[in-house]
Amino acid sequence: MPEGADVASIEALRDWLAALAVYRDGVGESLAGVQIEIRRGLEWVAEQAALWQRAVRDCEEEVTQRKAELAAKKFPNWDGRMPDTTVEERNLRRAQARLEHAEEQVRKCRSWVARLPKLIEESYTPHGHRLQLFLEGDLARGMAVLDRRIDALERYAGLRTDYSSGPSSLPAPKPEGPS
Amino acid sequence: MRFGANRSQLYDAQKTARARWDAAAETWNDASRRDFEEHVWEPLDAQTSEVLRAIDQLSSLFTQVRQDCEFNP
Repeated sequence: MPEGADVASIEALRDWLAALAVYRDGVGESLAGVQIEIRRGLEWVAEQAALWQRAVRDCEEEVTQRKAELAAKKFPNWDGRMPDTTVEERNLRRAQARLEHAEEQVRKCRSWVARLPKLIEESYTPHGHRLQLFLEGDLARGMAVLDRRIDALERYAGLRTDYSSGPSSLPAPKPEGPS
Repeated sequence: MRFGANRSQLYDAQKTARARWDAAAETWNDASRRDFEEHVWEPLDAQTSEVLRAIDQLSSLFTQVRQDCEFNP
């Protein structure tokens, strides 16, 4: 024999069902928002890689220019002495350091561009996907069953004036699938 | 790539839903409640917690990415 329904307040169940719908919508929005941020993140890394690549080209031009300036100074003066090239050498070293830094940044960005999708797949995607499926499947079905059960209780309570005054032991409204 | 707002929204929604479930469960104590709890509410709550942890991992990941890649010549 099925266990009777033990519901002290149908209104509380209705409230819960409404709260669950709000929760479902909030979770769905959050999951969609996370997906948007992931896409933005992937685009951002690609943009940074392009910016650093452009910086490499600029730095290469600067190195070429600094080398030319240094070479132009490496001729003896009118008195046969070599001019001081300290400034030009320092400028060249700095330009080369900037170039190396930009090249290293390009390598880092490319490495992240290559690795990020897999890391996201490992850390987040299965969890987000599973919850999304749950919202659309088990939760939707569970809410539908609960809604029908509340309807049945409300119909039954319509026959009893004392129903909502406290806990009662009603027969199960109707047999249904898993709820 | 800023996950804070989405995480907060999810966290707050879970917190509110837990309180509403506790309230509902006080007035509902039969086999259908236990069935709902086992097959709907508890898996939903657990999976939400898993996603919150996964968002935290994502956030750490992208913090590292930002530190490594941000264009600041």
